[in-house]
Amino acid sequence: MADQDAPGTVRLDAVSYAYRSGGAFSRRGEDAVRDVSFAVAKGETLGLVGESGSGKSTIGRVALGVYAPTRGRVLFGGVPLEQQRRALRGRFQVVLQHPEWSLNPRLRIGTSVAEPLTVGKVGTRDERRARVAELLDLVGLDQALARRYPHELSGGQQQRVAIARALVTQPDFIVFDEAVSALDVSVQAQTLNLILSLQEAEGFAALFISHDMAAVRYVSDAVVVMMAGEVVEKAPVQTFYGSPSHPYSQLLVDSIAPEIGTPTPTPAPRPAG
Amino acid sequence: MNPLITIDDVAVEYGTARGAVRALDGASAEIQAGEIIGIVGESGSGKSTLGLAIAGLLPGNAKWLSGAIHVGGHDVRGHDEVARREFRRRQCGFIFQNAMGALDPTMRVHRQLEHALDGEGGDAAVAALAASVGLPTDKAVLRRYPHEFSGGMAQRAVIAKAIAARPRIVVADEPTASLDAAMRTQVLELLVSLRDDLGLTCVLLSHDLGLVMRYCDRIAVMYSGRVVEYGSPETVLSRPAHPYTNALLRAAPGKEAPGTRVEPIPGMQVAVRSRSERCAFADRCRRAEERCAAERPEPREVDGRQVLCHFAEEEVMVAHG
Amino acid sequence: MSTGSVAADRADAVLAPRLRMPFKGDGLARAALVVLALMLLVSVLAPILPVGDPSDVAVGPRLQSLSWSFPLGTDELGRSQLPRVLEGIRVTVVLAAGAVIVTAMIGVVVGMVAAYFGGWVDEVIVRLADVMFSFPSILFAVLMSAIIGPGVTAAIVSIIIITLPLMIRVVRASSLVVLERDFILAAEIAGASRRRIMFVHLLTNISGPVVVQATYAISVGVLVESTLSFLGLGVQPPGASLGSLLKDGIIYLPIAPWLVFAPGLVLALVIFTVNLLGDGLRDSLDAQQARALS
Repeated sequence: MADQDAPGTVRLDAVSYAYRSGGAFSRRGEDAVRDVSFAVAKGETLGLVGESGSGKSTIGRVALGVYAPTRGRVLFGGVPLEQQRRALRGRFQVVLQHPEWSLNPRLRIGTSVAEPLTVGKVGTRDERRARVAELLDLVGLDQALARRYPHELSGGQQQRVAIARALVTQPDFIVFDEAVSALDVSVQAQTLNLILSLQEAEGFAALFISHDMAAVRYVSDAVVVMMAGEVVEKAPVQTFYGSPSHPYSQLLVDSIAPEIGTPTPTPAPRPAG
Repeated sequence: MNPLITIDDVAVEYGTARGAVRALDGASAEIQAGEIIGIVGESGSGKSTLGLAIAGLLPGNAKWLSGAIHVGGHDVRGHDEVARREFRRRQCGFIFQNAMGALDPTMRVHRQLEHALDGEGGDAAVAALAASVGLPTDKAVLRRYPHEFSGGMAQRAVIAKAIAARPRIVVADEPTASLDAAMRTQVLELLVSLRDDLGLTCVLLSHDLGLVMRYCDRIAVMYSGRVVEYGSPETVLSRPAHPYTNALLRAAPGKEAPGTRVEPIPGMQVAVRSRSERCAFADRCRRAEERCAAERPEPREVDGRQVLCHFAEEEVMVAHG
Repeated sequence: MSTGSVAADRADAVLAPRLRMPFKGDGLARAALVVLALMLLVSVLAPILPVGDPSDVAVGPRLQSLSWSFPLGTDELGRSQLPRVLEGIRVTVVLAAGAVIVTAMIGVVVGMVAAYFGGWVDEVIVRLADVMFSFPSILFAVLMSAIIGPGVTAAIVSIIIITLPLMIRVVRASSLVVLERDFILAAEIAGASRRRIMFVHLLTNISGPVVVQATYAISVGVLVESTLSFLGLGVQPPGASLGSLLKDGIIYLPIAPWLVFAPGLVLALVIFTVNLLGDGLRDSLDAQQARALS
């Protein structure tokens, strides 16, 4: 991987995080993630895979700066996040799993998409409205949808709105946390392709978190595999089309649907007829 | 051999605030005893409605418009409420998608299993039931509450409840959707073993083509309330005869060559409001012609499977891979 | 994810349940709404209706029973009871509603703060609310009027303090649920301030339960005010509230029972219909959620 602290690169350096088990003053529990290091460069997508409980969502939150690591640090362009909080406001964005929950159901689509601009007090009302229209266009949605409410849209459309919102400030880094997992196959395809094109056009660094190995392999330049809170493999994506080195990675790759045309070995004798 | 379940041109409508929506628009299939059949479809395809209909669990605002479903010779609709409940317990169990949601959070699992067994057989029966689904038989463990169980264990408990009364059929609605790969395998292998050991017939609703490919004896692809293709997984998924099945395979990531794009299906699946007198997929289909927009396709046998397409013969010739 | 072909309607109902009036299918709630609305309408319009003036004395014979010219009879000063009862409804309901509006405003802020900040702030607020909640309400109201002096102010303050704990609890509970949702996290990441998250995102999504709770609180308020006024500690003469009318009439009960029955029945009716209204609103909210999640 290229210079780990180049401008626009997000880097995790030996990050560990432990959740607090109770209220504000309770102790930290066990490490949810331990000693995780990787870097995502500008314009690059890093896939983060692992099963539930592997800690990938936690890493996503830490990378965004939502959680402060218990040990280790997160750097952007070589500078630790705590030292540039103000400057980074709105530069990191997220697209989450459930389209129906990622938008405030009581606000119109246009208001939700404009939110990152509104809170950053960027531009005038009209300028923001124009930018929202631009974004809706970019994600392939009719501009008229800006006046509608989330429940009037389909899941796929809602997710596009979430993506539009994530892009509205031209962020440097976007975390996609199971962003396509709740979508139907054809909608998932559209959304994955959209993510690929947008990244080509806008050049953000992306962390694509998923338990769906096939989807991760499709959008990523490189893949990090996590198991029980630790990184077990890091490799460019081609390896995952061929033969990954860690047995757990192999297991995940095997879970991708077998080749069409090859009869599958059956798990049990099938009844006649 | 007579099929155990016959689904004969079923049409079901839901009354909603926005008018009636036809969830099933003439769905047909035959399921043999002891089969695991996978019903595949995206949202709006009607697969959930079909699963609920087989199990006699359609909600109050659902209306049967036409057709019938027979299980073991009996019409699933023809029962009164008491008979229907008996049917649900003895003939057809239902496994819900959200395991935690299907278990009573205020009741210990042991007691829930007891209830499912109708109190018969006492602790021994509960232990046997737990063993049959791979749950620990230790009463102390079973006496925990659902939230103390892991996702996989909770799903097994749901399966246990569904099969407690030894039904002939079990309908499973995305039973592994919220589980990770290891759990998924275990749960599905459990269903397979139940088929082998108890002769259980299983109707598996899923959106995951790979899963269905691996575990099902037959697969039914649904679109807009109808079964558009129905046959063995090898036949249907390697040589699809319906353009929608083909389109699904092209849209799913996993088999694309590195660097190539998957192909989303243009357009959207829309809910039909009245009997469709055309092919529902026509507007999104690559090979649609005038006939498709004018004539409702009927099921035909093409190359070893049932398909609903005027041009199935041509479609099946398309090389795949 | 979605397992039904009617996902759109269900999504609508669970994500943005709206309090629907006039309660399609809920006959009881609809009837309650109609009766309550009628009572309020008539009482508000009373000054311009030919019902008489509540303060005019000696317009008719004293302590006369129901008649065509005096539909609710007259009292010991010869005043027609009809306009007095109507004024009573107005005063009682406006007082209670006004107090509950204040309760709602305070309760919403406090409840949201407790839910959002968590930690010791939450602990303190919850404990305080518990303490307030454990006071016997009428005793507290009497205490209030002893401290502040009897009158409308005492009644309002009492109602606020009595209805606040439950409002805080309801707001806090609903807020906790909403705070789990992804759009809150997305807003935080986008850089929204705490104030914006609470007053834009949280507030817009807890309005349903707040309105339901406020409706119930109004019925509590009506009861508190009436009790205080009955004890002579609430609305003072010449003002008339349903409670004070009861107080005025109770000594004449053996000879002029209408002086008690009229305001008494009306009071019961007001409380009853407000409660039914609250039930209807709550059921409407619940039903939408249940349908959507089934």
